[in-house]
Parts: sequence; C-alpha cells; structure tokens
Amino acid sequence: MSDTLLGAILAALAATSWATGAIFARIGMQHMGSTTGTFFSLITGFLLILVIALVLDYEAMFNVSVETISWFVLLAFIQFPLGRFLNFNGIKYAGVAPATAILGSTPVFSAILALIFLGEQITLMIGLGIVAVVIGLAMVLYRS
Amino acid sequence: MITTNIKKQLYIGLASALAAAAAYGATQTIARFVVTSTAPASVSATWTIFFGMIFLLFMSLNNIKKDIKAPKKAFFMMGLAGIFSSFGVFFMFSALANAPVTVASPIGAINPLVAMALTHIFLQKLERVTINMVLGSILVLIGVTMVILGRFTV
Repeated sequence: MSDTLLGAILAALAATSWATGAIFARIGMQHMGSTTGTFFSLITGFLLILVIALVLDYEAMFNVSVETISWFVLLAFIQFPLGRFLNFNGIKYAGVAPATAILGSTPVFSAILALIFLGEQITLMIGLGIVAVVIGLAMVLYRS
Repeated sequence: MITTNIKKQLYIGLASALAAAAAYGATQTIARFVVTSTAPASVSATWTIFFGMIFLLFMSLNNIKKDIKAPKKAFFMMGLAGIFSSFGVFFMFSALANAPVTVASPIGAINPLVAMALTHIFLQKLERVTINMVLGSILVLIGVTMVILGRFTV
C-alpha cells in the first residue's frame, strides 16, 4: 500500500471519527449543558492522548519551557472554550447536520487568516473556492 | 412564544458553529507553528487539552451541580464524543504524516457528509436532514477543496 493511499484512508477515518463524535455529543447533550458536556468530553480525550504521549514522547512530555507552556495556554483557550465549546453549542442548539456543515468551512477561515496575517496571495482558485463555500453555507442555513 | 425561543436557540447554535469554525481556523495556524517549532504533536495535544480542561472546569462551575444529576448515559455519550474527537485529531495528524495536505485535508472535509448520513440513520427522532443541507455541504466540500488546492499546490 502506498503512503498516499494510507494517508487517504487515515483521513477518511478522521472524518468518520469526528462525525461519530458529533452524533454522541448530540445524544449526550439532550440531558446536560454544553459547558459541562464539553468538560466531560475533554476528560476522556485527555486520558486517551496522555497515554499516547507517554508511550511516544515520555521525555518530551516533562521537558517543556515556560514559553512553550504559554503557547499551549493560548492554543487551549482558542481551541476549547472557543472552538470545541462553541462547536458543541452549535450541535446542541442547531443540530448535527447544520453545525458540522458550517464547521466544514474551517479551512476557509484558516486561508482568510493567512491572507490577512501571513500575507498569502489570493488566487483565482482560492477566490472561487471561498465563493462556493459561502453559497454552500447559505444553502445549508436556508430554512435549517 | 415557543417558536420565537426555538428560533433564538437555532440562531445561537448557527452563530456558535460559525464562531467555532473561525476559532478552529485560527488554531490551525498557531498549532502548526507550535508543533513544528516547540514540541511534538502528542505532547502539544496533551498539554493543550489539559489547559482546555481547566478553562472548561471554570466555565461549567455554575452548571455542574445541576448537570451532575443527568443520566449516566449522558456522561457515557459525552465520554465517547471526547474519545472519537481525539481519535479524529490523531488520525488526521497521521494522515498528514503519510499523504500530502492536498490529499488528506479534502478527504477529512467530508466529515459533514458522514455526519449527515449518521444523523439520517441514528437521529431521525431528533433532527431532519434536508436536500438543501446535503447539496450545500457538497458545495462547501468543493469550495474547501479548491481553497486547499489553491494554497498548497504551485
């Protein structure tokens, strides 16, 4: 099996895992708020990743500088109280289908931020892609 | 009155999802910098989730007394949601380590279509998937693929 084919299979597994996670979150949050739900989802996610990190990078786990820790805190603030909590809030109040469709546009936000802050050039392909995403999102949101 | 409340909740949900997409978009740029220049991916993910748990613990302090009375099934489901979300990140990092971003990212972006299929199969009592949602998501997938190809191919 080629590396590219293996990568494609792993990417498909990633998509399936995220979608399955969203379904479980929707069922779980019928009975609890999205802040508490997000917190409990992080506990199991943390335990899983901790085991992987201890197996793969035991020494590096405890060999981090104060500067690196501050990057982790910033990343954590954007990723979880903003990213995952708002994602779960979207799943709880708007539903799995519209929320995941909107979340699918993440690479576009990444590209827009790269255009603004990293000075990347906007090409015809990127421009048309952004237009397609905006129209697609409008279709998802229409009467959702 | 009930319809107004449902509409308000729907708008809150849609705005939340849009803000989450923007937040995840920002983290992709920062995470790439952190992972490539400061610490390995597994170490970065562990510490980031650890601090994320602390943030969320403080945010949920007011609700936790009420939510702790939720059925055990709810906690089990949220636990599974966390495990599958973490597996998603792990599989995506592994995919990017084996295949170019132009292959891995668009395939990862089929997530909404998989979610809609699963919703249609397992959550019929809770929500409905419309043809507009499916067509819109396909258009989002095409657009995202074009943006990724535009950024990462010469």
